[in-house]
Amino acid sequence: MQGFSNLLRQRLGTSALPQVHPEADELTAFIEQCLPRAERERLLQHLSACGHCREVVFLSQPEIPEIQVVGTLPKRSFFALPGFRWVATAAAVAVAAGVAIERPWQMAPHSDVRSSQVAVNSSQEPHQAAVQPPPPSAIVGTIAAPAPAASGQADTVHSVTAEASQTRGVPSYSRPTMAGQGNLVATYSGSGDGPRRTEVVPLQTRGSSVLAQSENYVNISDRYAYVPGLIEAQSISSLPAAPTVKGTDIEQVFIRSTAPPITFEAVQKSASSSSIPDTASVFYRVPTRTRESSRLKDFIHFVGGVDRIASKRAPEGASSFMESSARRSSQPGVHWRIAEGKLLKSTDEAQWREAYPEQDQLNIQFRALATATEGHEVWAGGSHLTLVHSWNGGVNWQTFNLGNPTDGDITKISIDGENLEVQGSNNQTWVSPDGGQKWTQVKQPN
Amino acid sequence: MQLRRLFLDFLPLGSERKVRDFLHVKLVLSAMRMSSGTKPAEASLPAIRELFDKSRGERYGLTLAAFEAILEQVAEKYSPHADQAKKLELWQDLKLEELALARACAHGHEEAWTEFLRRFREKLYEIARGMTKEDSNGRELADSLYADLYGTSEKEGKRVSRLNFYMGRGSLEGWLRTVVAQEFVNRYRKQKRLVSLEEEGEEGVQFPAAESSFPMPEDVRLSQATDEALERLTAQDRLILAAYYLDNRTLTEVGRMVGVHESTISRRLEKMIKLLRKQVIAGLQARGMKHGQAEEALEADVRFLTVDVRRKLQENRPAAFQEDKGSN
Repeated sequence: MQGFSNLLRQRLGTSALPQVHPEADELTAFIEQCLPRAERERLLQHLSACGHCREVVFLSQPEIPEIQVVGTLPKRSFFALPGFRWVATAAAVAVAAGVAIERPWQMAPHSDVRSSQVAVNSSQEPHQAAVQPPPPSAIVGTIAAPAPAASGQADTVHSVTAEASQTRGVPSYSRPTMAGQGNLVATYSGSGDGPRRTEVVPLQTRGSSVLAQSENYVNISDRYAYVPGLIEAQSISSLPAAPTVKGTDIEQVFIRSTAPPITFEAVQKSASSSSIPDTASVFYRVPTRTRESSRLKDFIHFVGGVDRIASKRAPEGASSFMESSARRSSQPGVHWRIAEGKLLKSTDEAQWREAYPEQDQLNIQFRALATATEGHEVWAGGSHLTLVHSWNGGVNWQTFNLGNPTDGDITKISIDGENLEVQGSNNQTWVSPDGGQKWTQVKQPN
Repeated sequence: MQLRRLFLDFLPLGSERKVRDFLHVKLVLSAMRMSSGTKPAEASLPAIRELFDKSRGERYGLTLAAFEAILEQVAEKYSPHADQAKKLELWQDLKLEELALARACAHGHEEAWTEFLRRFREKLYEIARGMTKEDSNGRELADSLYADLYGTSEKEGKRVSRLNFYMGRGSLEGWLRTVVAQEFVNRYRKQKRLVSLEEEGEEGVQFPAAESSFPMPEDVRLSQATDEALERLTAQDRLILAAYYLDNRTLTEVGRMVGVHESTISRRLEKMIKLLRKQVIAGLQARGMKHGQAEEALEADVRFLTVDVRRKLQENRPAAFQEDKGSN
């Protein structure tokens, strides 16, 4: 067989090198998997013959975060337990232990208030005052590159069945286990005499969410879906009434639960227990450009037991949840504070810098601050009833004027999921039920 | 002038001329803004207005008409004969905010540059450092790219910024990463050509004997049958083979390149090799060989191919690769 490999090397190496190369723009879209099928096919043709562009594509891949193995595998393995596969599959469900499923993207009242405080003329750092109730948990597994913007509409009710994995082709992964804090460990068995090694999927705790940096560890084909520790299902097939959702059509997977918070210990415990809660929510992003539209539709899939995934319509909020999850999937937490009327941010809490670029221009003195999702979502307000918002850790900003600038300042901001409440210095109150898209004044000034 | 200070702080020494050019471009931009106010009415199509709002280009001084012109440029490039509906489909998938930012930078908008540097300055150094694996080389690579992004060359008296080539199909950060990678690969190739014979001799490199001294007993039928089998593969499968066998990428690396898991690559490779072998043997049989002879031909050639393959691989590999996977 070695001889044949060498023959292939030789023949592959003799193909004529293309003279014209794709531009950086196309290569980027290829890497980020944004190219339409026909263009992607053309680019694959080119890459198969062009070592130069293959090298560029390879170098252009975003770096994988460094993996650090913390701790070791537990001594007593549950691999040997009878019905292990079922238990293993069930563990995917257990990731969202004890989940209330009906509308998981809508938090229970006050459950997602990460930091909500008045900072009147204060230089107090937000985290110092952040004695918060335990946040709901989310696990976000991202497959491939961020998908194009979603339409946020999914008006069809679907049902999808995912049978539990009974057998596995080779090479395969062992059932992942928790090792130390923050890592899922799986043993990879190569085919035949191939390599056998251990892989570590780092999980990061970010306030209300646990993020699985699993893009390199996720395997979803048309018959098989596997995210270590999160999903394990084979033969994804649809019921007659619903269109088929192929694994290959899925661009991103997001898993989320509300209370109780998921802890690593809980996952480990659930994995070896037969009494596993059977509810969780799994968001699949499915591009439908192969069907009637080029826009995306979002599907929400409720795990309804070990061997079933039933999907229902994706209600409002699912799309924005996925968008924000995708956006913050590769970013560290951001810290915020107000000092002397300035809005400051820091990624390490050592160096602080002014964060809102138009502060001087708009002559705002900030007085109130609220953050969520580890500081990636930030609302700040102050003089002239000016409210500013960044959904991506201070990269982009929206500015709102909630009323007549002479009517005072913003003194308090509260976030509860998509619900926002802002209070003014003259006892006014504004609310927004949709993450700041629409505002209603519920209390007039004194 | 805040932007002047920004660039003087930022650009390498001797770049004052670039700043003067830059300020000149600002004047051009102002003129462009003034003239674009009289664009035709189609510029106000609601859909385009929606895209414009989404791009937040106004913040960087872009007008609706200028933005529409950028969109048309993208459509002209990637979907030249498309009708309006198809164009809109293309435009909706663009990274509009980053496209507006890049083009505003290309036009020299001060606020856009501030934003660009804030977002990407350190990132670009990190990317370049990651590729060169060395701090000073990384900085040099990033600096040279900044000069290109700013636009040091001129065409018909106008500064040409590389950011004008960003079309918003992927993220701006991804595009920057790709541009750095292209620059890095090009430099490596240039440097490779400049390595002197003395240097190679000092490093103990053994020069290959003249080509004619290698016996090449390869049966032409074997090449034909193999080429035929390779041609039947899909482009993606050929890419997987090339990345694995020619570039010596690991399964994980190949998987990342095509966006599938490494175990899938492993399975696919295994299947592909079996299928190819079968097809090559069938091809040889169709060319008059018996099955046993065909099997023998595959194995017999190995001794010679080893030499040939090694040489071939050295020819076109642009960068340092990992350990060879058993070409011996």
